[in-house]
Amino acid sequence: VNRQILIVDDEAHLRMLIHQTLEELEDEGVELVTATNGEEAIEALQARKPDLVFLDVMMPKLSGFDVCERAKGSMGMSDVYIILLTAKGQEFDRQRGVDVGADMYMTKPFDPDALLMKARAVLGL
Amino acid sequence: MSSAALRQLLRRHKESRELVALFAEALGGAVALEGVQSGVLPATVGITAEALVPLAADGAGAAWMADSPQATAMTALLDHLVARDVERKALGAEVLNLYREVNLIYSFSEKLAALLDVERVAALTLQETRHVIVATDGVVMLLDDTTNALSTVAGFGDVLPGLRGIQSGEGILGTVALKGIGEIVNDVQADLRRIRRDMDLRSLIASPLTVGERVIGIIALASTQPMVYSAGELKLLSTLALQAATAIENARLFERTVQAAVERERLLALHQHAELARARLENELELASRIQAELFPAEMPRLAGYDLAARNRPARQCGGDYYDAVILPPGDHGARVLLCVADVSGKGLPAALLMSSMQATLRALLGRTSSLSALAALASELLFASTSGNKYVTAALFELTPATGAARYVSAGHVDSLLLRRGGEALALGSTGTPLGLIPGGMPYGEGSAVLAPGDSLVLYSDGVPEAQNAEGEEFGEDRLAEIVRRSVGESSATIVGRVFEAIDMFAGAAPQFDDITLLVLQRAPPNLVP
Repeated sequence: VNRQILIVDDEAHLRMLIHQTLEELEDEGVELVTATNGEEAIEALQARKPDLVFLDVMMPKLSGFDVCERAKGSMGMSDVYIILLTAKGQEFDRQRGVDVGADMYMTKPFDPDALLMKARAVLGL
Repeated sequence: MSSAALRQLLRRHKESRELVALFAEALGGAVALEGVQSGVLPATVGITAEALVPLAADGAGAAWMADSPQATAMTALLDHLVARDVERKALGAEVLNLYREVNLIYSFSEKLAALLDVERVAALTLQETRHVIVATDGVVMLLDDTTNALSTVAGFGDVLPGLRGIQSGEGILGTVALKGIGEIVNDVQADLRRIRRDMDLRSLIASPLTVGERVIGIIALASTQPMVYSAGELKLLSTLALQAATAIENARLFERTVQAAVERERLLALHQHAELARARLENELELASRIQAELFPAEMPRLAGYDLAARNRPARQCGGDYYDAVILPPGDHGARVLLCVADVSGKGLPAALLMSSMQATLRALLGRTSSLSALAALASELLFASTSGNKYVTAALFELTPATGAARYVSAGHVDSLLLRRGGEALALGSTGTPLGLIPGGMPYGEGSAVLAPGDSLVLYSDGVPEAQNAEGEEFGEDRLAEIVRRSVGESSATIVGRVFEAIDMFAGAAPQFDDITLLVLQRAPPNLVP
């Protein structure tokens, strides 16, 4: 079974940048999936049960916190590694991140090399 | 179209796979795709591998189709799809690279904000720049405002950091500093400005460090292997250089502020120290001055038929001169008096203490020795024993029998004393031995004698009188002293003393008084006034 990474961000350029950063993992059999909002993210989680999720916090309607809370809670995906993405300079409620069960958080603008390294580490590549 | 690119496209891109299948179906030909499950391309079912031709140009396997005209059309589609994918990837890579730069600039300014040290700012700048610009060597050099020379504050690699003593305008780096314009030199060996021929650098990229219009230094990266540095990289380097220059300027300002504060503290401490020392010295001098004041006789003894007066004026708060007049036990011809003017070596408290010692010695010995010369020898020995080697006292000692006017004297290394005859003749009574306390042992002192006839004057003084100087460096001299006394016939001794001091002050003018001035005048009343 292929390993999968879900990229969730409502901003198209960030989805593209994260996708581009992780693209070399496709050669190692990793499938990259994207979602443009919280609802799509829930659907993708349900349908694919990815190994790793890059999840933007600030999204309209269903926020990253909400998605994470549902995934780790009612959807029972405690083994899915979820990384919250927060904008630098914006206030981030760390405690909320811990409460919803996120595994870590990264700030945007992100360091592509660090992001790729983290993905490799989580997937054991 | 390479098979690898095609394989990658078909493996990753679901939409492309579906498009190929749709196209194959429409063409009515069968396409076999490597690694694709059957069912995705129903048309492939039943076709044997031998009937297929590879669709990629290099003939390797990724997709195959039965050899037919349709295969040509399929190849054209695949070509197009692969080309688009390559384009998309190139664009993606470029965008990601730009994003990497933005991220670098962002994190660089954050890191810079925490640094207040020029060397560390320079080192961080090079470290961050290396992430995005490939180089074997790098250096940050700062321009010295006064010498116009560039000096290295941070660097890496074997060649660039070793460069020394580059002047603004000299060579490639000096040109960047002088003109304040960044440069890419992709063939260093061919550049005519190159000053170090032995330098093994192939490609170089450099930017000035500017604050406003002012160039404060340069940053340069270089490679010992041929490289092609791009305009984009120079733009990035310039952006980082701008941030670094501002940070360096801030760090310098901070260093200067700290230095100024430290210097201010140091000066304040020095001042307090000096103030303390001055206060202590003042106390000491005041104490010395009090000691000394008590040593001078409160008033001069009255001698029938004589008029005696003396005055001392120290150069500083506390001086080293001393005078005394003591009535001695009567001798064969009645009462005797000892007159003394002395000059103690040194100044301040030590001199005052020595003077006190001198007075005590003298007074203790009075009447206990057979002669004036024996007194001097003993006093010298005692002073030598009780003081350190470089302390001594010059003294003129006169023992006078007022009834007869007979005087015996010893001068221990002292300046001449003046005996002025009634008729105006001046006699200098010179030294008869070494200063008291200067050398050990019972050095014999010579003893002189003179008779003070009615109308004669005896003047004892310290070297401060003849050696008083005016602004031109001329000395007052013994002649002026004698002349004043000579012209003061009929005046009291106190008046004469006052006149001499006035004359010295007139003579010296604005010149400061260097030495103590002591003067003692003894006049024997002229014959017609003798009671």
